[in-house]
Amino acid sequence: MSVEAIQNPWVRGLKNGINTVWELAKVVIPLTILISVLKETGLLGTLAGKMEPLMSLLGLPGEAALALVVGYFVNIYSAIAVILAIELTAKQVTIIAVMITICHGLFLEGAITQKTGVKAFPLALMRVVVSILAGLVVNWLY
Amino acid sequence: MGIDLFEAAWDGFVSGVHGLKNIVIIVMPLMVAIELAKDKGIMERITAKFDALAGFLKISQKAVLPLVVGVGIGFSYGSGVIIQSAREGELTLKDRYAINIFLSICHSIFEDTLLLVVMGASLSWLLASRLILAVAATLLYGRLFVRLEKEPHSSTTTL
Repeated sequence: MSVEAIQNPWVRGLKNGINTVWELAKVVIPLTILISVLKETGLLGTLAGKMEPLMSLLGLPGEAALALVVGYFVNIYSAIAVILAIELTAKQVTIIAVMITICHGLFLEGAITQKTGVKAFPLALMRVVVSILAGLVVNWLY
Repeated sequence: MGIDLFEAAWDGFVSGVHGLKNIVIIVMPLMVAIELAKDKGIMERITAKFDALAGFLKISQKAVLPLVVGVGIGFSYGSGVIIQSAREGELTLKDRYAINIFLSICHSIFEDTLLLVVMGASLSWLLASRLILAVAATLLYGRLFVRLEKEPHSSTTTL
């Protein structure tokens, strides 16, 4: 920490930027490859077909369920990988983006929340509910 | 079949790299800007301008700094400020819940928003929805909390 504090903010910023991009790359590249292969084998299509009725309430294709699940439980980066790998309209990207920015990384951020002395579970539940409501509203009003 | 899968993997790789390239253009300057803002204490100075927020959100004056820091820079950074303030006995449990509710819904507003705008999402929808919903949830919590506090004493609570 003290070493970092001495450094100039430009160096620190570039370092953080490289770290962020590296963290992103570690998630995004394998996931875009995996999803692309799943698409080719038809597995993604099967999953998408199963999720279609539910996702259509949000104005989203079935594949988008994957973006929401990995976004909710892992992080925004993995949801970005799914967005990159599937075909979406601007409206659909906006719906997923709104839902995912509101609710993501529930385990990690739940732990952060708990450190401040409040209960993490009710907050996580609230995020999921608000996220779904927001998705419905954006789909309706966009 | 094998060739198809290889091609699919390559396509996935290319779309991943392409997406990352766009992200680099956004993330690098943003991270430098955030570090410069931290260095110059810009968050602390901005906080003074958001004094009215405390009254509006029914939180104490001391809760404004972690809120502004969390919204601007990030959840864990904001939490750090909460933990420090709480240790100094400046934040009540109600304040901590209120800040956490707001920040759960709305944090890292620059980074998260820009990453998804690069993906093609609408900037105004992203900004507006998160801010409005965070304010609404925090206000609702304030309302409920006041009612919970008052209920045992008076039976004349109105909705």
